[in-house]
Amino acid sequence: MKIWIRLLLLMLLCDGMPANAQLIVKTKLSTHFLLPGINMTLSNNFVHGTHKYTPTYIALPYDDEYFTVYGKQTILSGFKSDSTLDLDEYSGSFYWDTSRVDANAFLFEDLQSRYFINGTLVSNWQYIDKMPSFKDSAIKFKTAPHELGTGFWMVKDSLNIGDSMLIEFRRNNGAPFLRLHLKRENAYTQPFMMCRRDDSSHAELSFISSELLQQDNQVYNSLFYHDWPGSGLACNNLRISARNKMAFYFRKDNDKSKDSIFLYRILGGRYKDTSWQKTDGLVLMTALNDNAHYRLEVKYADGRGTLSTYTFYTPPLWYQTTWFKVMLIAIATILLLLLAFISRVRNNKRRIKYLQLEMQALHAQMNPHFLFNALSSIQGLMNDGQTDKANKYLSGFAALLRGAVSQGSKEFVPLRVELKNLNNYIELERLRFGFQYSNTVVAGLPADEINMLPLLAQPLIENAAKHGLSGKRDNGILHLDITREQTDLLIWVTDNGIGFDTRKPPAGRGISLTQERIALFNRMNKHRKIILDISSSAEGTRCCIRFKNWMDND
Amino acid sequence: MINALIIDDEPINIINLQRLLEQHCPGVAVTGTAKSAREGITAIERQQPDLVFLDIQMPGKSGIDMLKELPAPNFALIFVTAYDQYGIQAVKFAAMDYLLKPVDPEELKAAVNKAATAIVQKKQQQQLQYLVEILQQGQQKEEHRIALPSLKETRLVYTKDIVRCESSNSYTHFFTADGEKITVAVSIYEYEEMLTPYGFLRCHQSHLVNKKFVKSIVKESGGYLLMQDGSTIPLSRSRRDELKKGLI
Repeated sequence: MKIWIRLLLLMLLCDGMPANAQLIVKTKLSTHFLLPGINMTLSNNFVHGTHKYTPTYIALPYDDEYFTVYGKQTILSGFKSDSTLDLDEYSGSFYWDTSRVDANAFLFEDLQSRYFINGTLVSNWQYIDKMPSFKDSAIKFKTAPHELGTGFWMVKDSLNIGDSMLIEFRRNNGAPFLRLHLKRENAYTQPFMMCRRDDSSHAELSFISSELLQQDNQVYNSLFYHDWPGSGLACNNLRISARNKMAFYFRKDNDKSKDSIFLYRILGGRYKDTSWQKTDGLVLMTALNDNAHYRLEVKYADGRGTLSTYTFYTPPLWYQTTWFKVMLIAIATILLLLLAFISRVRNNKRRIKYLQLEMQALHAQMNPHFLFNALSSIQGLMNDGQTDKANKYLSGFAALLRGAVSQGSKEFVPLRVELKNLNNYIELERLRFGFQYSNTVVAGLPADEINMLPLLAQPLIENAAKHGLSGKRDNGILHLDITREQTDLLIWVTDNGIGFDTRKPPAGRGISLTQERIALFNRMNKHRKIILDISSSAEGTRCCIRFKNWMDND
Repeated sequence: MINALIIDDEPINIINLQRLLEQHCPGVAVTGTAKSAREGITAIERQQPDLVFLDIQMPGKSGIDMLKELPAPNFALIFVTAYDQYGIQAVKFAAMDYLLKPVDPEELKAAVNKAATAIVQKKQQQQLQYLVEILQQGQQKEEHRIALPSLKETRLVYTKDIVRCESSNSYTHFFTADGEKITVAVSIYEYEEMLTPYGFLRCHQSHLVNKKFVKSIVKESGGYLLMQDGSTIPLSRSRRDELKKGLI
């Protein structure tokens, strides 16, 4: 049962519809009565049949039929049931007589009709085939002349809201046998969106001004079906670009003043205001965010009808998408792993460097100058007959050598061992350079437990002896002092030598070696730190190695 | 008696040398000591020693620096040093005697004997002159000379003129670019160390060649070097590849 009808549209167009009318719902439903002798079509923008019987067929005796209509234009047309005619395009609700008692019960030529509006007779009884006729595109001659058949307008009128229409039929001045009752109700159940415009090319202000200029055309001057029910354009989870600016036009309401026909609000994205705004038909939405969901709600300001709701969303930007976030996490994880790996490699490198420096430190102490000069000094003592002294220095020298051989791979040595090594070293230097030497160690230090970096102070002592004190002989004084400040351990190397310019880079390898070892140690340790401070003047040099948090047992 | 002066900044070293000389070199009388280069210059002027024992490394001025300042040194000189690569290099080039600390009495005796001979022959000044000349050589390596003490005389030869050295027991034969052969009583090992920085290569146990005089590397019969003077130098079998790399 799929026959399309163009009849109604044709009629509407004939009725002077402007060409620019925007039809949102193109197909109107009509109601067709297929009776013996006559086929009738009731056309209104919107019709609800309220037939007493089953809505799909009617049968004799005919009685009153009731319809609620929502459209203004109301047309009842008919044409003669004729075997030479063919129905072309018909759609809508159909009523046809299934009883068919008498195929000629209603001879088309005998049929008359009249109609009332609100009880007032508008058109009195008249034979239908005498009524205004038109070429009905819904019917066509099967045989020659193959043209459109002729239809007749029984009613071609308009109904206002609340109007009722009664159409009566009779045969040859007999009693009416069929009555159609039409009542027009208000169909404005919700705001009706006529059109929607996107724009991404204009700046916001020019977009707004151009839309405002369009407003009169779009809303007030459009001859839209002002009585067409429904909500108009649907807008359900529509995808739009955040760069777009949106304009929505709602159908004007004939009876209302221009201002504040509607209330609307936009929710989502940057729109945080949930209060209702007034509008007379134009809603603008110009500030859209990416990756947001929006909801436009429009209702009549006077509270009629229901709410029209439109939803749409803006797609996420590439960095707002889920896969991107997943990728980000993945990349971050990989990066972290990589960093961890690099840091491990670097730590290993540091460790190697550290050990290298340790070795160099030992080497610095066991440098050939020192070795051979020390041996030479001992030879001098021997040849001078100072056998006891020679013995003492020889064993000191042996201890240092032993340390170098056995402690070569050790990262730390106990403070006691370190002090002994330094003393041995100083005594041997003293033998060469003849300075005075004293050392003090603060009482109560757990010298066997405190770990020291082996020979860290040795280059400082070597410097003091070689550069500071060597010219002074007996007048030279060297102090080695171990003190404590809270949890810090301090080693002081003080001499009264000639001093040097601390701003200049250190001449010998010794001090820079110490500085490198300290820097590396500090990089590898968070809690314990070593700080080297050297101050020097013509009166002497004072070096302080501060072992920060060294006495902290954590 | 040889009138000797000891210059050393460390008293124990002076004492040591004094005692050693007393024991092992009865012909030497230590008539003075000095504890620095500055004191040393004064002592030399005052004492006019026949023989000076000089420590190279001293605070302030080194023994080498001191020598450069002396107007007309006329004494035999024996360096005494613990360890000093730079100083030793010049001393070796000048073919001077030096003693390493701690001092070996045998080496001390030999050095003193040599010095005594030089003093007798009045040759001590010449040797010092070589040293001073070598010390005053510029940075230009091309112009550096090396003292070659042959049996008859000591020759100062430019390193760039030495074609090759050949060892024969504890002697070393030098072949110069103008065809001369100089024989010195020093082992080739000593010269390898001295001459390597000047483009010399120990290509064989008994041969040290100046790379710039190598004409070609001949591959046949185990490989040898053909020098510009026509001589052929065998290549050490075990180090052949390494040598080729060094030559090219």
